[in-house]
Amino acid sequence: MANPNSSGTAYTTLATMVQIFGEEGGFDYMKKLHKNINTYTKSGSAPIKAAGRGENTIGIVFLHDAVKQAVSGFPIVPVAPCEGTGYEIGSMSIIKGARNLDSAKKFYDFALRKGIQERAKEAKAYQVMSNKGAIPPEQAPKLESIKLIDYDFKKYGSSAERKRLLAKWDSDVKSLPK
Amino acid sequence: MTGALTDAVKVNRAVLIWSLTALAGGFILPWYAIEDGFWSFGWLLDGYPFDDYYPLIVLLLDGEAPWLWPVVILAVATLLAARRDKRDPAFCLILLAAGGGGFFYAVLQGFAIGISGWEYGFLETLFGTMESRQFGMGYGALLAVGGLFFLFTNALAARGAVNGDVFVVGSIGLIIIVVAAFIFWPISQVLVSAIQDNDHNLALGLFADKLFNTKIWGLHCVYGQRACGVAWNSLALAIAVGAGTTLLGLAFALLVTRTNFPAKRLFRGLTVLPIITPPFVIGLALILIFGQSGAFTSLLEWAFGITPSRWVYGFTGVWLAQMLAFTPIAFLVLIGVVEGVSPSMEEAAHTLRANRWDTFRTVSLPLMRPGLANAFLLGFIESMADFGNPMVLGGNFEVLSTEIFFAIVGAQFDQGRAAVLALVLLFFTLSAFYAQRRWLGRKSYTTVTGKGDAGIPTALPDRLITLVLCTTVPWAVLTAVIYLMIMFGGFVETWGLNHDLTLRHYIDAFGVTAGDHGLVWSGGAWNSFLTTITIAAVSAPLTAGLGLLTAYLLVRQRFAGKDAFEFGTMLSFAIPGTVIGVSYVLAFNVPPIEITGTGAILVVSFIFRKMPVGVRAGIASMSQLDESLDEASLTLGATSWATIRRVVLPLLRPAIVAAIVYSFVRAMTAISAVIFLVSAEYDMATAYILGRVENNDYGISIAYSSVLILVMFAAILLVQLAVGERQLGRRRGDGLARTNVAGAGA
Repeated sequence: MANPNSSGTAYTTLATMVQIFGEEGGFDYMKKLHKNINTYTKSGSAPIKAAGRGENTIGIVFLHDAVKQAVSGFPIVPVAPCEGTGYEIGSMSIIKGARNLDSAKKFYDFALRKGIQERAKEAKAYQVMSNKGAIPPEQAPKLESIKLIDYDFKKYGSSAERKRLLAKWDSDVKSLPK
Repeated sequence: MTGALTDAVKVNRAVLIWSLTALAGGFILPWYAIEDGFWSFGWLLDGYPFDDYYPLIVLLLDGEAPWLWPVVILAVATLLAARRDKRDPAFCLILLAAGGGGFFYAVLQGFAIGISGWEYGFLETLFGTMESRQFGMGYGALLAVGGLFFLFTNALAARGAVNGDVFVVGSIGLIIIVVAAFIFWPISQVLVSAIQDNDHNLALGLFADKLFNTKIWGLHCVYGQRACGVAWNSLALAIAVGAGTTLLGLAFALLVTRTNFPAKRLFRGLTVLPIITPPFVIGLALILIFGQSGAFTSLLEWAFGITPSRWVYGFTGVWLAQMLAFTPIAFLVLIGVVEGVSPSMEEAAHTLRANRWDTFRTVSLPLMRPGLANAFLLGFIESMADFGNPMVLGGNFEVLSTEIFFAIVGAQFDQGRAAVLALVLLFFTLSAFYAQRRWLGRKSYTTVTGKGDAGIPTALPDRLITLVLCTTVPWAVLTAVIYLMIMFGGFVETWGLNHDLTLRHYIDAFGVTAGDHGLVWSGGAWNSFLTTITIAAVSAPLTAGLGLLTAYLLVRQRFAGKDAFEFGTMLSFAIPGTVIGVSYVLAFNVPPIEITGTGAILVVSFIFRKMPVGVRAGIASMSQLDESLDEASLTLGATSWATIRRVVLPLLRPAIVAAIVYSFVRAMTAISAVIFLVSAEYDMATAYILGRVENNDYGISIAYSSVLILVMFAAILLVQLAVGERQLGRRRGDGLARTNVAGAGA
């Protein structure tokens, strides 16, 4: 698993555990998990890459990163936990006062178009599409077969809550002996 | 210029040229930046006054940007000084007022008025709301500001600064200005957040909390189970890498210059290889060899039953990778210095009955001190700032550079913490810098003098040769194995998984197909490849030039604030590329220097990231040149510029080669700052390769890297041919011919 201080992927894992088991239960789980983590990698997708090369047994990552390894031929099987799992939505932004606002809007529309999103698999991106009309790549995770939690983006996306959880993880989990 | 005119009143040519430059900036060229980029010239087709991009005077006559009137008026006023003698007090007065005033006014207005009018609240309360806004400065502004600035330095020289040497004062001024604009300004954008909370209020208590944090300074690894603070990790690693690369670099330099080892040319080529390899490729190769399922690990397990361990993840792995990556830098610095050690002094030692070992220990080695110190400093700083290797091989071993990066882009979003960590890193590198200066002290290391040197380099003591061979040969073998593995990776389906041979990756990257209208560059890599070559070729000579000019000023000139000057030029090197990248995006996304997303920002970042190497190499070589050579030239009436061109530069050829080669290859292999600065239009090879690695396309990444390596080898040879070799006028011994700089290399 990656280090949630550096990786948004791992922070999502931490926040998911807190949402499923409550704060105390979630941290208890992370403490027990700690004994089984050989490296808290910097990058979110690094654990599954290491697993693909036999340096790890399991990587806790976003599903599409695991799918990418499997598609490349590495011996990886993507699995979603049956208790439920968190998720995130990738986003775009236009800067306030942008000089070329019209072009930026055009790009927004372009990136959200069905046909364009369907080309994502050419770049080996196996996420589920944000445009509901777009047909996701056949290897992409099937959301209907995965139990999703009601992820509280407002609370766990806020800077204060994130700082608090990360500081707690640092002092209560990361510093424990293996 | 007619004869009559020159007789009557001599026109000061320098002043006239700079005045006209400033005027061209105000009257002819577009004042604001061209939106399509610095190198686009479509606007020229519109014809004067360039429809969308008016020159300043046209803007002003249209009633736009009225706050710029003083710039034009002062630029015209500088012409008044052109026909005055420089001893005339009015000359100084006019240039100081018009040149200096114009320059500072132009810079201040650039920072004060931005995209949304006044940039600072107090200006708004002072002058009322600003209706108009302005974008980045363009060619016109650049020329006007540059011209006014050099008129200002001309005036300073005329007032007697640095013995009234116009060239030296201008150079010092130029370097101060560019360092201020491209190092201090962007870095200050990041560092100022160290003493602010997230809402930009001053918060010194928070700063102290962040600075004296156990995560930075903790010593738990000494007495407990927990890991030590990142500061200690970085420090230990940097010292180990600095010492290791210096010793290994020295061994290779001695091997190449002072022994008759048959394969030394091959060795020399091998030492250059790692410098021209994108760092994560080395990291990956190390994992494939020494990782838990790596080839060497499996071999040991099969042959001796040694259980695979994770030693390659952490201090040892990062150290090994950094040694591979940075030994060439030490080598490049040391080879010029080892060559420069005067054989006469060694012969003198022999005459005094010293044996070869004593000669080496008491004469040759002390004379190499500037090289050793500079090599250590470079290794130390490179290790501190390195990002790629700790990223790939760090495991649970945390260092400052990665922590800084993830404090900004990671889940923490804590710019203040990043700034504090950057300050800690800066403190270490600056301490190393001062330690190095203390160690060198005020001793003289001059060995290249105007007098002929008839000595023959002595052979090394046998003990030392054995030692040199024992270190260099295994290292060269390791390097060779790693590179064979990497090259192999380009020809198989999936490296480390499916080893069926294929040429697919090369075709994907560099395919050329015959289309309807001639050849089509269908390979995916062509775009970034050509951009990379162009940008590297543009930035390398600029980097070397600026670096050597700085070195010349530091070694040869005396002026007030020299230490601060040296510190400023070394600063960018001490800061990890990732911090530079982030700070450049912050500083140059808005006027007055609006270059984010252009090719110019890449060139600028390379110049200022790598200039310190040119400075160090220049200083190391220049401290060996006897100052009486310069003095002789100056006494004979040559200007300081002519002296540089005719005397200093030819003697500096090894340093020039080192600086150009290093900046060229680093421009092609750098990743940490680049990753923030590339755009769709200006994509760089390393960013492209990293993207492919992220997608598991190792084949195409390696194919691409292999092609880059070949290109860089060709470039190195070309640079050596173009710059030529240094003729030291030394006799060649029968047994031990001196290796020429240009002779080896491949």
